[in-house]
Amino acid sequence: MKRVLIVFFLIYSLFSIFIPLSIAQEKQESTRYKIELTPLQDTSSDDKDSNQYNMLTEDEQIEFERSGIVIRNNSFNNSFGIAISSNKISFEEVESQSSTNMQSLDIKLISNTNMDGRVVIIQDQLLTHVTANTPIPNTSCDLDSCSLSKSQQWQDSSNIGYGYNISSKFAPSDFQNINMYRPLPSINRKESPTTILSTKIPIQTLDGQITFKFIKSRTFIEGTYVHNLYIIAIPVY
Amino acid sequence: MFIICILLRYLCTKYMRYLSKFLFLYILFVYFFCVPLYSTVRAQINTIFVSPTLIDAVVKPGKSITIPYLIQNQGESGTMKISLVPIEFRDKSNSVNPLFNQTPAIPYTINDESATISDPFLIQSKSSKKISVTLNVPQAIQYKDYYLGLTIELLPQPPTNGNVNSQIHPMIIPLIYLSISDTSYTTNSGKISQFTTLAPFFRFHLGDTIVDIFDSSDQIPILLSIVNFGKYRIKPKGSIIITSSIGQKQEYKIQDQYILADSEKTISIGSKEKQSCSSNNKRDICNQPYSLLLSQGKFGWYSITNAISFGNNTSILYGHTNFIALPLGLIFYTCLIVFFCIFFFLFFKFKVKKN
Repeated sequence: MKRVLIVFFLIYSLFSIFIPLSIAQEKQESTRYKIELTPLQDTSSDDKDSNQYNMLTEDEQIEFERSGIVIRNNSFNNSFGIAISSNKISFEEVESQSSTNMQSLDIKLISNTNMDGRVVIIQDQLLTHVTANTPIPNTSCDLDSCSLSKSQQWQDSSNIGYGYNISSKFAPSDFQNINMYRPLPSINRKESPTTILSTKIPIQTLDGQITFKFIKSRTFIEGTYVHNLYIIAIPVY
Repeated sequence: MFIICILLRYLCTKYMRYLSKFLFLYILFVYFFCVPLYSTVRAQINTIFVSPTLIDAVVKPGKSITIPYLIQNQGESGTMKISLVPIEFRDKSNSVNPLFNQTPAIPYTINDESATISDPFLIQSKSSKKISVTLNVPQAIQYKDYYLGLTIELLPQPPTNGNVNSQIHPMIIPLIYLSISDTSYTTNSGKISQFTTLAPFFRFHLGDTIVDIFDSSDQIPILLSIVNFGKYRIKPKGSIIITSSIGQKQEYKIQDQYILADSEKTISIGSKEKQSCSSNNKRDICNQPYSLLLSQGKFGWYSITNAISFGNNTSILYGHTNFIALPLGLIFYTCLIVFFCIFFFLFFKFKVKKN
């Protein structure tokens, strides 16, 4: 009896693993298309000049020939927007002493329908003294470890600079706690904006809290420092 | 209800003289406590909306296209600036880069109901503004796709003297995807670059076929990536079919999405709302890009096929991959138990023999 069971188990295992291989090589047809299965590597042609097709539907084609303009897809019923709790982050005067300062903003991306959207951030330049033109550097976090796309711990008050943390379930996964910071990308360095809020699932509201941290140095010149910080909501299609 | 009314009437007549005091105190409470609390929670100083979010158009050279927009300021009054910039999309993640320092290749004008807008303007709180963007496509222009963004930003207050000031610019960018061509015909320029299951427990080759083995208790991520090497964006259509070893089929449709010119994209398949990635997954699949996430509880051999086209009468691209899902945990513990049973059986047999 035991032998019969073992033989049956072996036959079933072989059947369940190897028989579908032969099924997979068969042709499959549906009402919409016909597939002949082959490995992926052999499936598409490298001949880019063949295979001309019309990118418009018949109705669109008539409109295109008549007026020279076709709007293929629009979202006139869709709207989206951004809500930010303040229009300024302003730290107290830079005096000849070192200290740590933090300020937060609430950010929300809202749309009237579920959509893929993201919020990105970029500064025009580093925080710069208005007359002396000397910059406050971006943070490099503790142990010079963070980058534009990877946050790291920044708790050591001797590591001067400016950086941000984002707290949200829609934030990049490297922001694991409130002590993780990244430097800001800059337009004048030709860097791309960094995504701070995004979703894999179309959704109506993305929200989060961004905290800016500034650690002063005794060497900073006293006076006014300014830069422009763009917080941008953008749909993804 | 009747009893409550009778009770209220009795209480009102009996305690009428206290009622006015109670109402007064109640109003004071609401005014000094609840109203400030409510306004603190709800206040968003900068709140701007725009409609539409995307315009996808095909235009012949020498033509003009006018797009209407409705902008709403739901926050405080402020100064608004509007302009048009080229948008660059980079790499597989489709990261977006508004090129603020560049002017678009297509000349444009932005008008409101009465005049052309070129300078920043004041927008009142809780007000809306209708604008139109006219794109004048030149006769001599390269035939290809142009990706533009209408930047709508609120300008900040002047900086505070003596302070360190980050001047916040809230900005929204509705997109304009514009194809410039004198014909609606183009070449089929899409190609499947990857079609595979991700993060298997074990992978082996069976002839030409790659087979991935998964634990039945794991979610199974599938990646379908398409590259567009053409000058115009494409919209893939089709589905993937998962066939089990007993012939059961499940079809997942490709979502409506663009693959922009000269780019690669991980395609979204099926309803994303139904595919929740479990955060305790040790393989960290939730942070990887994937197209479809199959739920746990799979068992046996599965064959996955896809069929994709990019337009009317274009050839269908297809791909094929396989995976096996087995209860690896159960198999491991069963083997362990069998091993110990054999071990103890031999041990006691040997011991009895020795005695």
